[in-house]
Order: sequence, then C-alpha cells, then structure tokens
Amino acid sequence: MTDADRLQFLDRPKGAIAGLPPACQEGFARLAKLVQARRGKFQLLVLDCRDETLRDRLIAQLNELLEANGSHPASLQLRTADHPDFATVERALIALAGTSSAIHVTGGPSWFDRAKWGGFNIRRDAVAQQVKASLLFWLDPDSIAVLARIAIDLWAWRSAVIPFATAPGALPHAVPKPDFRIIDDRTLAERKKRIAFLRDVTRDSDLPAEIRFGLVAELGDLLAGIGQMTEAESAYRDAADAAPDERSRTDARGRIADMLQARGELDEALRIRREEQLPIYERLGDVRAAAVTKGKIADVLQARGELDEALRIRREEALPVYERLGDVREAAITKGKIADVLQARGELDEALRIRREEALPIYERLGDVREAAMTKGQIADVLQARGELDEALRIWREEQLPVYERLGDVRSAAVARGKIADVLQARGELDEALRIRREEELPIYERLGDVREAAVTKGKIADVLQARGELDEALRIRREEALPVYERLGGVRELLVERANQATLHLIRNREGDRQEANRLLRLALAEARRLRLPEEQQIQQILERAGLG
Amino acid sequence: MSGRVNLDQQGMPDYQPPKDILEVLGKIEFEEALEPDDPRRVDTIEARSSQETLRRLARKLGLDLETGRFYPAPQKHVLFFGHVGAGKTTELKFYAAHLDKTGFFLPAEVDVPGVLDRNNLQYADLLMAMANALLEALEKQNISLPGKDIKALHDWFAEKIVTRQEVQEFSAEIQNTLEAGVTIPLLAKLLTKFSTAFKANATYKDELRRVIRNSFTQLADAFNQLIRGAEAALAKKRQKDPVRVLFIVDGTDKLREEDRRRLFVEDTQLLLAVHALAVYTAPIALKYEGGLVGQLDADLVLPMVKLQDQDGNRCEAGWRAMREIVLKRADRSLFDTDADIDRLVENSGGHPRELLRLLQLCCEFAEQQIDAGVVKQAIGQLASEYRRPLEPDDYQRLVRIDRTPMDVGNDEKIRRLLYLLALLEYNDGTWRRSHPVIRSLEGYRRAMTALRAEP
Repeated sequence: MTDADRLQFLDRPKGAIAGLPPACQEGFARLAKLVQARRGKFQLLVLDCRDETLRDRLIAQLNELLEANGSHPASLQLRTADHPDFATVERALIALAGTSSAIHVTGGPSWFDRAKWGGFNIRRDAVAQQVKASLLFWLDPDSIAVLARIAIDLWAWRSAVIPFATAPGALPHAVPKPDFRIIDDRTLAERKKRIAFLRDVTRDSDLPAEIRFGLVAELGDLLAGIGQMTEAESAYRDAADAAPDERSRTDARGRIADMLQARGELDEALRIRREEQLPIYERLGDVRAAAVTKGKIADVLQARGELDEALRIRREEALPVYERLGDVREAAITKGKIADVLQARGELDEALRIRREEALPIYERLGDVREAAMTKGQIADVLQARGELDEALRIWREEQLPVYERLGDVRSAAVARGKIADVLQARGELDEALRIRREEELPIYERLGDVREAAVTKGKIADVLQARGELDEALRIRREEALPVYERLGGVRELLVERANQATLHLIRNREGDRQEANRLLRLALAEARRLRLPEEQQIQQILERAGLG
Repeated sequence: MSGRVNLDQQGMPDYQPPKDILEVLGKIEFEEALEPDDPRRVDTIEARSSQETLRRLARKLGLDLETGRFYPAPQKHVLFFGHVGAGKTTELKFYAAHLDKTGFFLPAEVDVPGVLDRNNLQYADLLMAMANALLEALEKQNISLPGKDIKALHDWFAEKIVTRQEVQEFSAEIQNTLEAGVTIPLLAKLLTKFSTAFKANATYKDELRRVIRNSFTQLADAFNQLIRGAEAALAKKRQKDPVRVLFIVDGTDKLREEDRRRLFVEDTQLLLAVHALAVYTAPIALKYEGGLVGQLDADLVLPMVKLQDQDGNRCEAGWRAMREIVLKRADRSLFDTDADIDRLVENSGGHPRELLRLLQLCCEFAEQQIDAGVVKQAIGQLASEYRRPLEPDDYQRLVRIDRTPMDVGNDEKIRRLLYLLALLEYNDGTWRRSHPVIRSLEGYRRAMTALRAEP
C-alpha cells in the first residue's frame, strides 16, 4: 500500500464516522481498517450490536466506504426458511465471496442455535479455504456468549470482536414500567387539584378503613402519574396500613413493589411479589391475581436479563391460566409480553408473527382500538429493528397516531411522535427529529406533569445535539435538566444510565477536568449497577476500560 | 551413526518488517505456521527452555543429539502437546528440519487440515494420508522402491477396493491407475484420490472406511512393508543404517473432541499397528483427559515462552524472544517507546498468538503510531473478549490457581480454561497461571477480594 493510498484510506473513515453516534465511532474505524487492510483474505469479524437500527446504519456507512474504495460488499440475511442448516449458509457464503470482498451476515442472533454454531465450528476450515472475504457477523452479546462458550475453536479463529455500544439510555433490558397509562388526559393543574383534595380528606383519622383505602390508593396512582414516586410510595404504604382486608393489603403491597421496580430496586420488588403477594393469592384461590403476579415476577426477571425464565413463566404459568379462564384479552397481553422477550432475544420473526397473528386479531375482534393501536406500534418496533424503517414510520404515522388522536389519548400520541422522531434521528434527519421532540413531544409531557417522560425526551434532545456536535448544550441539558429529575424520582437505574450518558459526553468533549468528572460519574453509576446486580454493570465497566479509567 | 546437530538458526539479513500500520495488520495470520527459514520466525528454544524438548523428542525417537548415536525402536508414536496457538506447528517444522539434517530420518509431513477433513476424521483417513505423505517424500528424494515393496499395497487395492460394488465409480478409476503399472507416482496418485474422497465427504467415504477397517491387518502389513522398503532404500542411498521414516502429523490438535478421542483413545491399537516413528500434535487438554493408552508416548509438551519463573523472577530470554516476535512483524519506528512493546509482551503471558492478537489490536486502534494509550486500549479489548466465554465461577477458579499454582487438579472445568487460554501452563505443566489480561478484569479482582476475605 502506498503512502497516498494509506492516507486516503485513513482519512475516509474519519469522514464516514462523523455522523455516527460517538460511542460507535472507534469501533467503526477499527472495522473499516480491518476490512480494508485484509482484502482478499478470509477473516471472521464478530460484531456486537444489539440495536438493529444502529447496525443497519453502520452497514450502510461501511458499504459506502468500501464501494468508494472499489470493494463490493454483499449481505446475507439468515432465515430459517431459506437456510435450514449451516450447509446452506456455507453455500451462500461461497457464492457471495465470488464477487464480494466483505459479506455482512445478519439475522444471526435468532438463527443460530447450539447445533448451528456447531455446524459452523465444524465447517470453519472449509469456509476459510473457500471464502476469501471478510465475514462480518452482526450478533448480540447473548449470541456471542454462546459462540464463545460452545464453539471454542471457531471463537479462537476470530480476527476481531468489535462492540458497538448503544448509548446506555437505549439499553436492551429496559425496566418494564408499571402501566399508569389508563387514558387520563387531565391536565397537571386538574391532577394537582384532585391530589390536594385527596390529601385534605384523608387527613381525617376517623375515616373508615374501606373508604380511606380507596382514597389513598387513588392518591398514590395520581402521584405516580406525575412522577412523584416517593410520595406515591408513601401513599401506597398508607393504603396497605389502611387496608380493610388481606386481599386489599396484598394489592397495595403490589403497588409498592411497582414503585420499587420503577426505581430499580428489583430484588426487593421481587421479594414482595414472591413472598408477600403470590402466597396470599394462592391461598385465597385467586388464580387470576396469582397469574398477574407471576407475570410481574417475569417482568423483573426480564429486566435483570433472565430472559429464559421470564419466558418460561409467561408461557407455562401465566398464559395457561388466562386461556383456562377464557380471558382472551389478558391472554393476548401475555402473548404480547412473550413477544417482548423473543424480541429482546433477537427472535424478531417469531415476535412479529405473535403480534400479527395472535395478539392483534384478538384486540380487533374485541374492538379494543387502543390496544390494537399499541400492538401495531410494537409491530412497527420490530420492523424498525429489522431495518424496515419506511414501513415502521408508515404504521406510526398512519395507523397509530390517528387512533390516539381520535381517542384523545394525547400522551400516547406524544409517545408515537417520539417513535417517529427516533426513526428520523436514526436516518440522520436530525433537524426534523429535534423539532418533533421540542415542539410535539416535550410540551405534552410537561403539560401532563409527566416529569419522567419529559426528562427522557430531554435526554433524547441531548442525543441529537451531541450528534450535531453541540456538546456544550447537550451536556448542559443532561446535567441541568435531565439528571436532577432522575435524582428526584429516585429511579436508581435511570439515574445510573443518565450518569453514564453524561460521563460519555464528558469523555467525548475531553476538556480540562472532563475525564475526572466522567470518572466520578461512571464510578457512581458502576457502584449502583453492581449493588443492584444490573446488566448495565458490564457496559459501564467497558466504558471505563475503553477510556483508560478502568 | 554420528554427527553433532547444530541448533543455530540461520538469519535472513535482508528482511525488513512492515513500517505501515495497515501493512502490519494485513499480514497477521493467526493460523499461519512459519517454515524454519521464514524470516519472521524467532528462535524460542532458549526462551521456552525447550532445548530439552527437542532433545527429548530426539531421544524418544532413538537419537542422542549430543553424540549422534541412533538406536530407534521399531515403532514410537509420540504426542506433542501444547496450547492452541503456542507455536507447536512452527516448532515441529523446525524440529523436523533439524532431525532431517542428521540424515537419520525421512520426515513425511501430514498436514491434516490441508489434506483431510479434520472435522470428521477417522484412522482410515489418516492412514491413507500418511502413506501418501511417505510416497511424496520418497518422490522428492528421488527414491525408487523395488516392486516387491509396493506390491502388497497394490494388491490390497486390487483385492479390496476394485471388487467392491458400492464404490464402483471410485474403483473404476483405481482399476485404470493400477493397470498402468506399479510405481510410486501412480500409487501416490491413488492415495491422493482416497484423501480427496475423504476430504470432500464423497458418498462412498463411509464404505471406503468400512473396507479399510475390515481389512486393516492386511493393509497395515502392506503399509509396514512399504515403510520397511523405503527405509532400506534410504539407508542404501545415504550410506547410513538405520534411516527411519518419521511421520510428522500436524493438525491433530485441532480435531473435534469426539474424533480426537476416537483417534488417540479408541483406535489406538490401529494406530500402533503401523510400525513407524510418528509425532502427532495434540491439544494440552487431552493430556489431562485420561484414557490415553500407555503405548502412546504422551508426556512431551511444548513449553510456553517464560517471562518469569514460578517465583516471579524475570526470564530475560523470554522477553528478548517475544520482543523479537513483535519487531519481526512491525518495524520499531511504529512504536513510541520500548516500554510499549514490553507492555504487550507482558500481557501476552508468553503466548505467541496472544502477542500477535495484541499487536493486531494495536494496529486497529492506532492511527500512525502505537503509543501507551493504544497499548492500553488493546489490552482492555483483549480482556473484554475473554469476559465472554468465562462463567462467573471461572474467576474464582483462576484466582485460586494463581494463589496455589501447583495444586489445581485437572477436572473438566480446568481443562476448558486451558483450552480457552484463560489458563496458561508453563514448564511442561509444572505450574500454571491465569492469562495476564484476565487479571485486569473486574470479575477477577472481585474474586480475589472475596478470596482474601475468606478466613
């Protein structure tokens, strides 16, 4: 390679990476260098990217770069229907290698199982001999862990493993939040007025338990709805104390567990569900409440990344109860949650099938337009993850948003607009994404008093500014507008994620004092992640190590 | 029977290592074994303290390298153990070249991944490949054999293969070859057909294997007759007696566990029916699996390059060799300081492929030069790659081994750690230590803290 070639090539990635999320730029530069430096040779590149939208953007960017350098990249989407075993994949790779120096292989996380990894392991020699090209296997951390553990020889053959960290704010195991989203479009002022009323009447110590219980429980719901979690938890504790019977007390304990779960105290939430709720419902013979509680246990396990057990509970312990009870709606919701787990595991096709064929028709039959619209939104999520951005965008714009607007569900409409902005942001249409977030999303949450969603939206605004290089303003928003909200809400998990995001910004800006501040924030985040045994621990540790702060 | 063996390596003064990061990156091949005269090859004998390894191998084969005395046993099948990527093939090529120079041996090299399907290998396949390697080695030496030495093999083909209905298509080709007459090139061509059929997973592969297994005694006799004939011809040509055929079978360390066990445990008696000298590469984990038959010679290990001894004293020869490995792959001008090179060496644990992996990572991270920051990033990245296959309790196990390196046992979990290179073995297996990069991981540090807190 001549000096001119080298300089030209080294400069090109710099241009190509400018528009990528900062956390991915280093990995992209490594990837581009490896593919280019080893043209015409076999190499197995293991690329760790759970976020499929990001993956597709990286692929597009790399392809552009390679084509500019005279290479012809190709893609192979693994599908069970097309590729029943590794032999079919091998044939496809050999065919593609005839004309391409780099082959992107996607769909791996859902396609590969132990047998298929075994097949690849066995055929690695043959593949290496016949495929003189870079094989870019786009996987996720779970499938890479399986590869490393069961196909050790193949793992030893890896040329590189390149992580493409999603921003900590877009973590795979987002905590399922307790659903307060019954349609309640009262303004913040109206809610506050009702809260004041409830506080006033519940001061009466002589209020009968049955009445007090209902009022303080409502007070808790309203406070939780406007993000005052500590006060809400206190109200639920009052409700538990005031409960007129065991059943009501157990329900109130469940709401306390919701609060704990929302702020990341997963162990204690799990303990309440397992030790204080489930045995009572079982003793009372309330199979439905027991099934709901099991579903919530599965929520916690899912949040901790224990996807297999979460899936087992939903399939074997919750769903059969609803089916036996003939509760088709609850069964459909559970199926939706099963699809959530499959989606988190990367089994996008099956998740999509369940949503389209099993959940959506039930809501349509029941005439539940709101749930149907929500399911369509989830279908759009899968399509987005598969890179089908246009179709996802069409669903949000044409099938979901109008339903919410017709129902007057302004909050859900704002969420849908946020999804539209997500797609635009992923496509690089930063100005329009920013406009939607500032003008159509944020004001709604502020008006409804949903401080949590408002803080999340501000974090996303900071992401856009960061991508545009406006680091000072992005940092200011995170530091002054988002972080204090999370501190006040007490959501440990969201707080640590926000701290990690802010630290990343400091590292990118890299002015005097930034590294020290990043180190401080990351250490705080790491300590909390470790204490709560959250999957983010590893990501934060990696950020520290990559920054040389480990 | 004399001739002192010279262990010095000849240099290649014209060789210049790459001076460009991308060129370095483009030339690193983890699977590539170096020939003895490859300018990138570094003599690691002193660094590994493996003078004894070559001498011991030679003695197992009957040769005293110091005095040149040679008293070979009728047969010896030696397993040569070592970590994956530790340089077994490169070293073995070097050993073979030295043994060849003594004139007492005719090395016949079988590159298993190159000529056979290493993912579905049985002894029948290997036997044919060994016979083929011998015939090719004889051809290279321009040795012709009397027809009587080849006839038995020829007859075996004629009787057992040509007459089989099941392999009619294949046997027709053999028939044509056999009719052309009994010569080494033609027999070699025939054997190549066999190996090709085995490698290509031909439909009649299983039938061929069955034929070989059912008539193995006759085939082994025929093969032994060929070996004896070859050795007699070599002795005559070289005016030296004895001269022995030495099979160097490389790549058997990379077989699937199932095939490896079948070859070295279940089919050992078939292996031993061939009266020859042979060295087979074997993964270090096999040494501790148990079940190896006593007649196999299974105690020769290629030591790792030693950077320190068990007591922590620095081993300069190891550092020198590892630095040289780096500097033959990347010009010194690409490094900011010597300390950067030393950091890479230190974190390789004395494992050559791991050193190359670190160097590759440096090239991925660096723009034009490798400095302390780049080295740190590379070490961090390699460490994070180890995090993926390790289970939480592996860290505790590694910490315990590091605390008591001589008393760790060899259970399945330890063997897995050895196979993964998370655990490295030094001094022919007398002591072990975790891979240095793993010691930087949080999981390891926490396990260490927990262990210290134990009463």
